[in-house]
Amino acid sequence: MKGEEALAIIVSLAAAALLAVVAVGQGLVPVASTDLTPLARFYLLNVYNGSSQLWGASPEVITSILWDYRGLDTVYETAVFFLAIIATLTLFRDAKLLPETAGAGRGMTVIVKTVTRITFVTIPIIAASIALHGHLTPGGGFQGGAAFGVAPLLLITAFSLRLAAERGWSKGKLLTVRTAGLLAIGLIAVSTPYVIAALGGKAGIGYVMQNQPKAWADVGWPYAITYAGMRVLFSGTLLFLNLAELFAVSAGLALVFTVIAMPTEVLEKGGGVRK
Amino acid sequence: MVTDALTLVGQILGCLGLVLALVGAVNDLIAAIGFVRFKNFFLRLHALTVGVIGGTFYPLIGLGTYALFCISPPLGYYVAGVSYVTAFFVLITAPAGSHAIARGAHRAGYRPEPVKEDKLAKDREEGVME
Repeated sequence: MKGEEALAIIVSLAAAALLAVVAVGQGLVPVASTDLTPLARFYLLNVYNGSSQLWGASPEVITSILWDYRGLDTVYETAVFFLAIIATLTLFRDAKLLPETAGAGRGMTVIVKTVTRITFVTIPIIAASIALHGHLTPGGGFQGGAAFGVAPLLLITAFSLRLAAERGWSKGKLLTVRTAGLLAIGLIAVSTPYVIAALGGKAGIGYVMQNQPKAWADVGWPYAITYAGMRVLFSGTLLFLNLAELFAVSAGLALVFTVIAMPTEVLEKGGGVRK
Repeated sequence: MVTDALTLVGQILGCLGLVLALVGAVNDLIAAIGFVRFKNFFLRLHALTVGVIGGTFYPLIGLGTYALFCISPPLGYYVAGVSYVTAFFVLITAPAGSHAIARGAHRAGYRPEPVKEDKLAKDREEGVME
C-alpha cells in the first residue's frame, strides 16, 4: 500500500510537470500543421467551384468525397454492411417474429414510457434532417440512418418487442426496405446517361457513380432546380444517394436490433445452428 | 435611451448565463468527487444525477441565454435554439434514465444501504409492480 501511494504521488507530480511544460512552452510537438496539405487544397479549390472540371456541386466536401470522388468505395462499404446483417440473420434464419413468441410485452415503467413517447417522435425528424442536409452540412445518409436506428431500439427497450410485433413489424418487411435502399444506390450509380437522355439532353457515355460532367465523360445530373423563385441545390446524385442510404442503414439497424431483442429460446429454436 | 437600457439588460442576462455555466462546472466537480467517494450503487446514482442536471442542464441554459443576448443575431439564435432544445431533452431523459437504472439494480438484488424505508420492495412483495 505504501509503495502504491508513493507511485501515485510520483505519477501525479510527473503529470503536473508535463502539463506545466506544455502550458508554458510551445507544447511537446506541433499538434497539426497550420498549412493545408496539397490534397486538402485540391478538394477545397474544386469541390464547389463551378468553373472547375472536377467539381462535385456540393459545398460539403466530405459528402462529395464519399459519394462522388470515391463513390465506389462507399458502395462497397454499404455492401459490406449489408453482408454483415445478412450473416447475422443467417444464424437465426428460422426464428419468426410473432406476437405470441415475442416475450411478455410488459415494457418498462410509466415514467420511462412517457418520456419515450416524447423523445421517440423527434428521432426520425433528426434523422431525416441529417440525411436530407447531408449535401449541405456535415452529416449524410449513414449518419442519419444510425440516428434513426435509435428509434426502434428505444421502442423495443421501453415498450417491449411484443408491441412492435403486434403493430406488424416483421423481418421480411425490414429486409425489403433494406434491399430496396441498396438497389436504389446501385441504380443511381449507373443512371447518369439515362437521366440525361430522359431530361432531353444529348446522350453520352458516363462512368459508374458519375455525378457531374467531366472532360472525358460529358454527362452529369442537374444539380439545382428553381422552384417558386428559389434556387434549391440538391447536388446531383448526392441527395438521392443519401436518401437511399438512410433507408438502407435505418432498416438494417432496426432489423439487427429486432433480432437481438428476441427471446433466447426462440432464437435457439429458430437458429439454423445445432447446439 | 431605450436601446441603451435593452443592451444593459441583455448584458446582465448574458452574465447570468455565464454564472450558470460556472455553477454547472462546480456541480460537475462535486458529482465527480461523489461518484468516486460514495459507498454504494444508489448513492453513486445520486451523484450521477447531480452531474447530469447540475452539470449539463444548467450550463446549457446558461449558454443559450448568453448566445441569445451576447452573440450577434443569426448565429446566436442558432446556438440558443439548439442549447434550449438539448437542455429540454436532457431535463426529461436524465431522470427517466436514472429511474430505469435504479429499478434495474433493485430487481437484480441490490438494496440501498443504509435504508430507512424501501417502498419499492414493499410494492414488489404486494404485487403492485413487478
